[in-house]
Amino acid sequence: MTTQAGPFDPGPDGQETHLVLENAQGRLSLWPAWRAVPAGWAARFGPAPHSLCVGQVETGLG
Amino acid sequence: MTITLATETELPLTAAQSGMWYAQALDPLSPAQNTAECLEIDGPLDPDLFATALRRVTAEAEALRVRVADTPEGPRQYLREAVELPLLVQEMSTVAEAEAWMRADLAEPCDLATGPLFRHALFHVGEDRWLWYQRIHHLVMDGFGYSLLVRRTAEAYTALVRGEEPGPRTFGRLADLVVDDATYRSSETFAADRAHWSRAFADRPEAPRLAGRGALPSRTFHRRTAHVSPETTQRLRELAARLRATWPDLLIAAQALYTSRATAQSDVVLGLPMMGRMGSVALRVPGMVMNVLPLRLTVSPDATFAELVRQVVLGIREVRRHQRYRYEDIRRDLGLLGENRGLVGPLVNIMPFDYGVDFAGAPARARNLSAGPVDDLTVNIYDRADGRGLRIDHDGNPALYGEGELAAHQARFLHLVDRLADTDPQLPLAVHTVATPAEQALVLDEFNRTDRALPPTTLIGPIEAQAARTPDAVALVYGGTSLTYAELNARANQLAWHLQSLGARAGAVVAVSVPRSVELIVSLLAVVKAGAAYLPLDPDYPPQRLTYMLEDAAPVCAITDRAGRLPEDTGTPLVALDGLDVSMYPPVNPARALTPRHPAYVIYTSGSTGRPKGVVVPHGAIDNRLRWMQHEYGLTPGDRVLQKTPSSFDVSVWEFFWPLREGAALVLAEPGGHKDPAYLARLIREQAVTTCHFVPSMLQVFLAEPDAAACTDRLRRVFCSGEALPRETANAFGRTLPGVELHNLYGPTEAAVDVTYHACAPEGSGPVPIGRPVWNTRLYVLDAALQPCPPGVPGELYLAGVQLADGYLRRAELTATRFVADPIGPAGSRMYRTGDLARWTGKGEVEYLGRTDHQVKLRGQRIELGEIEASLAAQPGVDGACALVREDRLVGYVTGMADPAAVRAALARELPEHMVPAAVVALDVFPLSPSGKLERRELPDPVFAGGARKRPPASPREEALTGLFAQVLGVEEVGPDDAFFDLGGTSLLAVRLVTRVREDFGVELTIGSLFEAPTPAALAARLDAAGPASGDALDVVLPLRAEGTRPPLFAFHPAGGISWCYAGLTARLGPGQPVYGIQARGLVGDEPLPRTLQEEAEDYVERIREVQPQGPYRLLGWSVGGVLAHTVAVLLQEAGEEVQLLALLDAFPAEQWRERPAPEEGDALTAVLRMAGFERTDERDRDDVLATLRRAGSPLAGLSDHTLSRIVDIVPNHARMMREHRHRRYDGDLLFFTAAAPRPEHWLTREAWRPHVSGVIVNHDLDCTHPQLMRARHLDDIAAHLAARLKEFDA
Amino acid sequence: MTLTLERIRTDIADCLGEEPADIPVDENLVDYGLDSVRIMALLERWRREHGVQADFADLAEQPAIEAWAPLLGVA
Repeated sequence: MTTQAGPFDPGPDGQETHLVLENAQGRLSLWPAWRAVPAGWAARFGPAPHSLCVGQVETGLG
Repeated sequence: MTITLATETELPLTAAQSGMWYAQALDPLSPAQNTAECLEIDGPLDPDLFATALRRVTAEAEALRVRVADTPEGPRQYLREAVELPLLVQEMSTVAEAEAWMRADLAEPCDLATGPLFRHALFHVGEDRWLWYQRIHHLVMDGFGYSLLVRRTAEAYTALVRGEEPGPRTFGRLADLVVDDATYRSSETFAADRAHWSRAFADRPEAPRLAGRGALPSRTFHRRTAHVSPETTQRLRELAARLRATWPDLLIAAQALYTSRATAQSDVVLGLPMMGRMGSVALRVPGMVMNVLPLRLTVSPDATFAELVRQVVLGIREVRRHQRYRYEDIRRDLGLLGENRGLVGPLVNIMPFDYGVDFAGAPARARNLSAGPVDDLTVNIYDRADGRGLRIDHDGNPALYGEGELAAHQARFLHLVDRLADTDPQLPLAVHTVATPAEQALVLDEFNRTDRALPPTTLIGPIEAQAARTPDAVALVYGGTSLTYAELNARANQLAWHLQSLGARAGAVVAVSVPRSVELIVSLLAVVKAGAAYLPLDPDYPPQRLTYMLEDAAPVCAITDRAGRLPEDTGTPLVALDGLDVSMYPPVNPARALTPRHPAYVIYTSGSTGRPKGVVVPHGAIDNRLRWMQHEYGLTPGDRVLQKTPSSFDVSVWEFFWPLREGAALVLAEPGGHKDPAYLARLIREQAVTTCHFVPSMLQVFLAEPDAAACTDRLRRVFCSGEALPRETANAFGRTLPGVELHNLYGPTEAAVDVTYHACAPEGSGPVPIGRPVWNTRLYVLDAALQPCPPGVPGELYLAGVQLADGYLRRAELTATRFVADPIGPAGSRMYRTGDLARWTGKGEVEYLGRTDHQVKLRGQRIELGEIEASLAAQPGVDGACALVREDRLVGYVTGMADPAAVRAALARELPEHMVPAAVVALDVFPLSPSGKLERRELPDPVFAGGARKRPPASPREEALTGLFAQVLGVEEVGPDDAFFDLGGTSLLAVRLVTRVREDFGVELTIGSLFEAPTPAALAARLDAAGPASGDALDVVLPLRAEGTRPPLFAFHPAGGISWCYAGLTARLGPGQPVYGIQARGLVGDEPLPRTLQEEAEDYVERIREVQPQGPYRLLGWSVGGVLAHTVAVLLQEAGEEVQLLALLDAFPAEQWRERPAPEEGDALTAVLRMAGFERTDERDRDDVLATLRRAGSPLAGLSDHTLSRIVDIVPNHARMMREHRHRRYDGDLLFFTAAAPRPEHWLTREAWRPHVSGVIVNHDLDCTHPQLMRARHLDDIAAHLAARLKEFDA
Repeated sequence: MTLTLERIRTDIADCLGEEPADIPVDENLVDYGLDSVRIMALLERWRREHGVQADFADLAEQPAIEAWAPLLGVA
């Protein structure tokens, strides 16, 4: 078992660690802000704290 | 050697030297502490003047003139006034020849007590070309010391050539080092340094080991040399200057980055060898001063390289402030001495000095040959002014790294250094990958070439087509019922029409809660035929959970077998099949607007936040999975597939639908039947099942079932999935079911059942891979930066391709965090992160290594510990909760006022059976680490208490069984009426218990009988009825296994006369091989003991002939039993019989004992203990011995006083007879097993059998003592060799 | 061409990534991150630019500016 936080785990409190991406089918993906956005996806929200990004997905990006 | 010669000065060792001395003392003949260097001198050299210079330097450098010997006060060094210069001067025709000589010299261990501890050689290898080799023991010299010696030698030589007297001696004295060291060790600085290191590493991470494990240092090391190009070296220097650092800082940062990624650890500790002389007198003393210090770094993908370099600079600065404190002391303070208990990962040894010396104008270049022992991996980096850039030597411990692995680590490191030198240091480290470009192509493209064009079909289409093709073929068998394809199709169609009338259509969900039956298959088909997705609801789940799932999934309706099966207050219309009339509907396929994109089923899995989540799998995904499976394994209409997996577990999907798509028959197990191995074995045989599935732990249980072996007739293939398949299970499968294929599959529900596959070889070794990807599927093993891991490097497994689920029903946030953007595959595609740790093999298969999170699998069922913890925490009176798995059992821990028993009972009402903790433990507080995190390792083991009202055991057998129960269950005490499964017993533990019963009682017992007789009392009664009663168990012939068609194996008793010890061997030889123990006369009655071994053997021959009248005979014996076996073998041969096998387990012939005194009663007690597998410690008399046996739950404890006292007579009688025996010659080979651990009777040798055997002695050494031979681990070995031999005879 | 105390201090600060004002003249520079590699780098530079004669051991033995000044030819 590793001790490190994974790329999709919450970062330290308040840090803007993640993005919300969207592809052409309207699918959403959480994404670490430090990694280049993959082709075919666009950042729709963030960088923002993990919890805010998750909240955005829950409520729909609108 | 403590005599001090008049010309010697005695000095203590410094702490640095002591460390080296103890390391050498661990392996006195190891040459690993030889350090050596070779200087290439280009130019004319005068060997005589060179020798003069060396003599002078030797006279000046005290460290070279010491020898080191142990004394009662500890090791001391003795400094001599003068030593003879050990110098070889020789012409060599080639450099290679000279290097071969150096390698040979380096492999010679040094005699510390005699000395000298160094050696020189000067080789003339060409015109004006010389090689100067010097080798010095690390105890007296370190790398900086070498530089002082070389400089001084060059200086002296140059002066001598010029005819001048070399300048005065500049070296400090050895005594200065000793004083300096003692001063430091008694100073306040020492205490402060100690406190610093203890604090800095109180919450240390595990040592990051590139090999994934540690090992003791070897005597040699592998070395690979490479160079950083001059261009990159220059760019590194420039980058270092820009970052206000030095090039060594950059390389240490690079190694930290590499180590972090290659070990999947963000917190890494590197070892830094340091010269340890700054600001010290040691700067002028050639000697051993250097130290290794731990540098702890945090490497995260979001940090920049510039930040990491800064961390290194500041970290080293901190380390330097405490650099005199010895590495050995730090490890001892942290309790880390010993194997596998390291503190640091790779060492980065920076050697920034080029000597830049010349010998009277002839330039010299130094090359290190050995920098001392290599514990794990050492990266030596040299800055040499030879225009070739930095030189890098990767030294690896051969016990951990092969040449190939070392080369791979070096190649990746060099690539990484190249890229770091070329990349903007302000970018996140995530832009870097540790895989080389070639490795990336391999793991991303080559291993994932799975593209396969397929028609756009659904799960159900091919089934309907098949029904039309073979309407009269048998589709389904359940008990006495069978349905044809036409019948099944028609029934499903009628129900499907009905479901459509209730709103079932493409995109909708229909729940199905029907126990395994014909109706279950009809219902599932009907739902899919109607176009809807089915949602299986296990009828055994607690109502609370069923309610949750119905409310969450909001199905258009729910099918049940009868009313009352499901909660009725969820608003879901219920369709009870009992009494339902669908005869008004047509039996033809219903129309539906279904595409591969529509969902086929929804299966709930455990959710980490406490709520289960519904995985929505589309038709295209499962259709791809089934088409691949058909292509790979080719089911035919003649096949019969067993359906035994509960429908809520996604393995059932292929069991249900694959056979129906291919014209094969589906054989249904009874509800609950999947847990009963005996039932399954019978069903497989009677129904001629060809294909079935097992979760590995259940497969293990199944294989332990005696009837399993009889399934080989028709069974063709078995699939395993659901949890890691242990190699032992796979190999046991090969032995029990030879000729049957075993396939290991892997996949989460989120990727349509399975995404990898591996065919198990019958006698494989190493972990069983989960294999390579199925059609249209890509596997990625990614590190913390989402960069691909090269083969062999662990990372998280991600899945991509057509088999991905849509996501989680109504859980957009969960879907977006688990199904994420794929940075590698086609634009806009997704990948699923499994949370599984895995690595690629070099051959393109994946190995499963564990979890990255708190998800666990118990008997194939996926469980999020978070969900258990949430349920525990939700109980009234619980303040804090934690759950984990201990020895295959789920355990909950709670704090607060709640009664743990009530908490467990509450969970049993809310959660499915497999998620209910076997025990709930109440704690006052949770154990915390220094950093305030929950210390899971510190949680106490649960006590699975036995029943409150215990009665004492009523018989020795009951008593022995209660002991066995307690041992296997890991509980303190068990009463005769406590039931196995109530005490936390699992089917796996049941296998263990049955094995122990077999070994200790010599009685075959099935898992099934444990279900029927789950208490020690009931089991004792059953054993009394089935096995040899306790009286019979002491007869001369003890049938350990009477069944079987092969010639039996006769196993002769050791000195004590009892043969129960062979029960373990019997179990391991497997069914089909009968085994009879031969036991001494007189254990029960008052028969006279035999007078000679010959007489005893003649008696045994008669008993054996009663069992087996004619040869070939197979004989075996341990200890005295071996001597008996040999004697019996000779007698049988003299009577004209064939003896096929004579196997002796650590037995030695009479003349080896003759001159030795015979044992007395005390030794007889030792022999009794040995029979039970114990070494005697402080047992004084019979009573003590009996008490020990009882404590350990040994069946021998149940022997009567009479028998025990006879044993005490039998043992010395055998000792006497053995000494008087005369061996005759056995005509044949001897199979011998030696207990190879050192023993007091070192004079015993199997060679003594030579005169008594005409053939060869085939020996197998086992790493154990004589009594340990009967332990499980060694019996495995013995049985394997025996079985192989017996197999040859049977063939 | 001769070295000054201030020059020494500036060069040391430069190779340590600190401000000259933060480098004391009378304290052990090891505590400020000075190591053998940096001493060698400084020495090379001072030999090249200022013709300094001292060797590595001289400087490493007493790593403080005060102690170095006479060795480096500063009055």
